[in-house]
Amino acid sequence: MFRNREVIGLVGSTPTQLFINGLSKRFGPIHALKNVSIEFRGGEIHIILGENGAGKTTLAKILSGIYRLDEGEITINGTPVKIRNTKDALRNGIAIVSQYPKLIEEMTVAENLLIALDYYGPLTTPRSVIERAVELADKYGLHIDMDKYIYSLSFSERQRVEILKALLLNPSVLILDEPTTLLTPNEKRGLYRFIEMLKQEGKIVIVITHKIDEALEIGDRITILRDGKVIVSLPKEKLTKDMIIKYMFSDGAEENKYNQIFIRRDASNRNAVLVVEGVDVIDDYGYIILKNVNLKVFEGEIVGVAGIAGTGLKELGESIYGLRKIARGQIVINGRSVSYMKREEIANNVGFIPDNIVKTLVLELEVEKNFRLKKSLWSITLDAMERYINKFRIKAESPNQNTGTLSGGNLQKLVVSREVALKPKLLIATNPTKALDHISINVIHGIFREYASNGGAVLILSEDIDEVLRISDRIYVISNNTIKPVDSNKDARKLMMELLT
Amino acid sequence: MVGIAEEIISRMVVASTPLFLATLGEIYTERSGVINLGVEGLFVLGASISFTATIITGDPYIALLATIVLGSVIGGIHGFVSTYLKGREILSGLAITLFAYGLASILGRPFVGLSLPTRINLANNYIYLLIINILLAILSWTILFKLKIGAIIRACGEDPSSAYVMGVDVDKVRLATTMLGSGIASLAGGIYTLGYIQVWTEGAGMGWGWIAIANVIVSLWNPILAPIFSLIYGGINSMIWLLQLPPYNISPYLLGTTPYLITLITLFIIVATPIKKYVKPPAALGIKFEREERTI
Amino acid sequence: MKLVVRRRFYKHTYLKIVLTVAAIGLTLLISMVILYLASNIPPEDFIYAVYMGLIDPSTLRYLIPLTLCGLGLTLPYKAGIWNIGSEGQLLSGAIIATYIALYIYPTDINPIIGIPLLLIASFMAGAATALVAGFLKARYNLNEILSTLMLNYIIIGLGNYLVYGPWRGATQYGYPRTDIIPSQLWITNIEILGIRINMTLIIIILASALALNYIIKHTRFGYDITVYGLNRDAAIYSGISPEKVIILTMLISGGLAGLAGAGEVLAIHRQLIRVQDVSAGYGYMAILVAWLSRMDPMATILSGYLVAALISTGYTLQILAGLTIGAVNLFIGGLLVLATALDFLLEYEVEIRW
Ligand SMILES: Nc1ncnc2c1ncn2[C@@H]1O[C@H](COP(=O)(O)OP(=O)(O)OP(=O)(O)O)[C@@H](O)[C@H]1O
Ligand SMILES: [Mg+2]
Repeated sequence: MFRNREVIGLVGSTPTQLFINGLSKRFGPIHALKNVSIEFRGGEIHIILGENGAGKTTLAKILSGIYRLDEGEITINGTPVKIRNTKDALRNGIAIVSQYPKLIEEMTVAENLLIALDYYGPLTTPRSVIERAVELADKYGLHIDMDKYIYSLSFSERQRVEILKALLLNPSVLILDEPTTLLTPNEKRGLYRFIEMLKQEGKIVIVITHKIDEALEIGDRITILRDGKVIVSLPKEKLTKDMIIKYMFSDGAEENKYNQIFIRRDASNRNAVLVVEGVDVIDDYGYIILKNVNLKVFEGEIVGVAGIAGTGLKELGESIYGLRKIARGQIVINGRSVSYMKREEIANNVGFIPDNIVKTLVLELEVEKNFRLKKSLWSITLDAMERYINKFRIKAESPNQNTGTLSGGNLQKLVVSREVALKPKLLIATNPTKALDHISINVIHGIFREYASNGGAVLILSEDIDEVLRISDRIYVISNNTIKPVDSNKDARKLMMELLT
Repeated sequence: MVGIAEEIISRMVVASTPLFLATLGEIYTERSGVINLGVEGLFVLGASISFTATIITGDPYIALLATIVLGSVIGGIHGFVSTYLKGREILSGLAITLFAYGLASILGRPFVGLSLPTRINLANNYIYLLIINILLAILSWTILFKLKIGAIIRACGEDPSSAYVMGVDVDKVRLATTMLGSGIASLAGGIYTLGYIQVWTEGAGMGWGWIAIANVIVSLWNPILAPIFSLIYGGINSMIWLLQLPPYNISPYLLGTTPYLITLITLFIIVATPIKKYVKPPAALGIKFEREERTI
Repeated sequence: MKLVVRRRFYKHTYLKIVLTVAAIGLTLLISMVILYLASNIPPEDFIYAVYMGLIDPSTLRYLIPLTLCGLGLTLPYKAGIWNIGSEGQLLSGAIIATYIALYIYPTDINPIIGIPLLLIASFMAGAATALVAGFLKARYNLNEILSTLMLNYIIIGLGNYLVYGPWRGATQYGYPRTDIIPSQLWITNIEILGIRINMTLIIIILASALALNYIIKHTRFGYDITVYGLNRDAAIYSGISPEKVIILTMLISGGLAGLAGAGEVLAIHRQLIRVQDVSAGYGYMAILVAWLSRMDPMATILSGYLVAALISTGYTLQILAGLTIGAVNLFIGGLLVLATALDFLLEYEVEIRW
């Protein structure tokens, strides 16, 4: 029963070495990784940097046994290991903390931990894990109620569970995939402390990110991936910010992803397209996640709502779009209450970019068919479609290309272009640029602005404060289970940070 | 009067047992995320094999063992197709049912009309049978909801990709529960012939598997609740035929539809009344697990 | 040895055909072995039976109900709605056709009006049966697999009750069957190149196949069905009404099965007989028909023929080796599971490295 604890303990006690050699992985026509070789050393924080679609997550998932590798070798402490599945990876002391917590919502914290820990036999009860878990949690200041169901936890509580899980697993290699994107500054500091501690114990910590400052702040060694290939892998001291930028972006673009400046407009004397009045938003489990939401979007303006993941941003968008019942209040679009509108009517009058765009695409069908998903676009001409595809810089060979073969960023742009092509009265966009590189972000932001200038109403729901700050005419922040307006003329950034944390 | 009441209860318990067992097996399978429509065929196959094997070997227990083994192997085909091969499990389940119908018919044919050399007398021991069934329900509940093994099974049915990240071999777990459920379904079919109807004719046991699958919903995927509808159904199934006799004289063909009608109505009650709050199928039920699923 | 498994991003049509043929070949091989081992049927006999199945004119007779039901299933299956109730829907059509022909129509009804009305009525009866399940699914999200199955058994019981009871024919010497329906209502065969073919029903099949093909490939509704079947979230998000997809696909599939039922009564039996003799499980076998064609209505005619040939083979074996028709299920089930299993190679490419 304790076999694996010993193995893991042993591996953890001496500095580890992990070599990967000639790793390749392909998804249909996409070469996500091409002959990647990297050397990871114990006692180092190793940053993997790369722009969107560079292959960072793919690398992490191969190491942790989630994806199968096509070619290549992995060596730990001099012995080649086969990682055929996640169990193999865990046995070899490799654990991953995914970008979004991968926990089973219908189960308690203790049950989740129990499942993840191989050294508890099949007939043990969740009780048996609690004592050890609580002890560790206290030691590292992670406060978690072991008997709570995951679905009742906030996003940062879930992240804490993930970290506790990693502590209990005591891995010799810990991979963190974009761990900080969704954390508050406070939580970020906690995470850095944790990483530092693992490093002191001689472990390999692999941090995946596309934030250059973060990389330079916490990393010891930096590997830059571009188009699935290793560009450089060097100690931090040998790299400067400028060099990194040059290596990361094939087109040598500048670091500031938001390089266009927009001026805020006042549209409050125009017609309100969207009116949200006293609405209580409910989550998947029937709990009220946002209380008493009041919000207006006028013609010709962009309203941005910033919020941390898991605090109701996604649910707010879905409620306005009529995908979710609301507990109280009313939502009016163009003078008509959403609760009386048919789904088809909403779909064809409101553009909607959800958090998970795969839910609005049929990957098995052609790009062209996906463009026609909403009925009002059913008979759009191929010419018009191609104009949108070009305007949004979507890399598709032709409208007949299979959608499943597009890269993530291009899928995102496809959805945005389709919703804009609908020429809706209201456009709701949830994290519209999440998976995008800086050039695409600029294009999309520009299009949103242009859209508003032509009289459209745009509601941006974003986990990216900078995005909200940059393109919104008016700003709201999700704070304390409701949304609050932020005076965009004052130091909005500071105000927002205060409210968010 | 006591005699009649006891008779009724005993019949009810005996008739409910095959349904209860098949339901229990399918609960394990569905909790791990696999729908096994093969349960129907495996029940019928179990009914046939157990009968022929008892006649050949003379020992009903050896026969039941063989039944379990064959059932789990054939059900394993469905398990394999719907896990490792990512096939459509509705189709492969139906296919297993048709295949098992065919096999039951071919294997049983030479033995039609023969009678069993030894009998398992369940009717006289119905109290023990009832106790065993209830203990089994409690045991299964404990396994599924109180132990790590159950948490692993449910994890595969709720969120296979997270379970996989935690090191659970989702396809293996699902294959195992499918084989378990299939073995139990065949055993249930065996108990149906050996312990309840005690003869075999072509088509014996047809329909019971479907009811078991419906009963999984009626039981809200909870083993503790599985005996309830099983007993109701067992009671109706063993008693309804009395209405053929005078003074009722109701057509046996009409009476034959009542079990299905009652099941359909029960399902309707479950989904159309406030009970529906409690109908929470495993979130990934019927959804194949693809480790390289695209998230974006 | 090492297996490298990769997801495919293109699904090649030729592969679908190759895999279907492979599934059929493997099924026949496995059935041959099982029948040899379990029932001592020599492989030569088996091969002969298969050959006879392929060329026997009676195959055309099974093709008609199988293809009609199979065609009907293409729509719901494309939408991921599992109508398993063709059997019951077919029987509803048969029951209604008999009822109207025997009890509603005047005995001298003009066939020009009489036959089309019977066909329409049986379409509606099949559709109504399917709609019970469709409504329960659309309104209450009640699992359609279970409801259609339960309805099958209920209608089977009802049909048998009728032929054993109130509808038992006065001229049938006490056998469980109704009287013969008026002869002008019979749909008769005509002889083409020495083969007797039921042109009326064949034309109905061709017309339905063309219509369904058009719906699936060229209409918005067909597109809605495809989207709903591939990604329900995308369907709901884009305003496609799940209720409409469920109700309409169930309606059409039930209707076509109902037509098949009328066909069995008007063209074959000319009376209602015990329901297990009206349909030897065509409704279930149609699931295989629809699936083998990959829900392509034109290909359904071909797969209908193949499955019909399997039934003929089964009957030949029955005569040769005294098997019951139950054994046909062995082929049908075997083929269905193999076809489902081989789909793996359509979704994934497997590379073997030594
Ligand atoms: N499961 C999958 N199926 C198909 N394509 C995939 C899959 N996973 C990744 N890809 C594709 O492989 C490429 C690399 O993706 P990956 O997720 O590794 O990028 P990344 O560097 O993590 O980017 P990001 O910063 O956006 O997270 C992309 O083009 C992506 O669309
Ligand atoms: Mg990534």
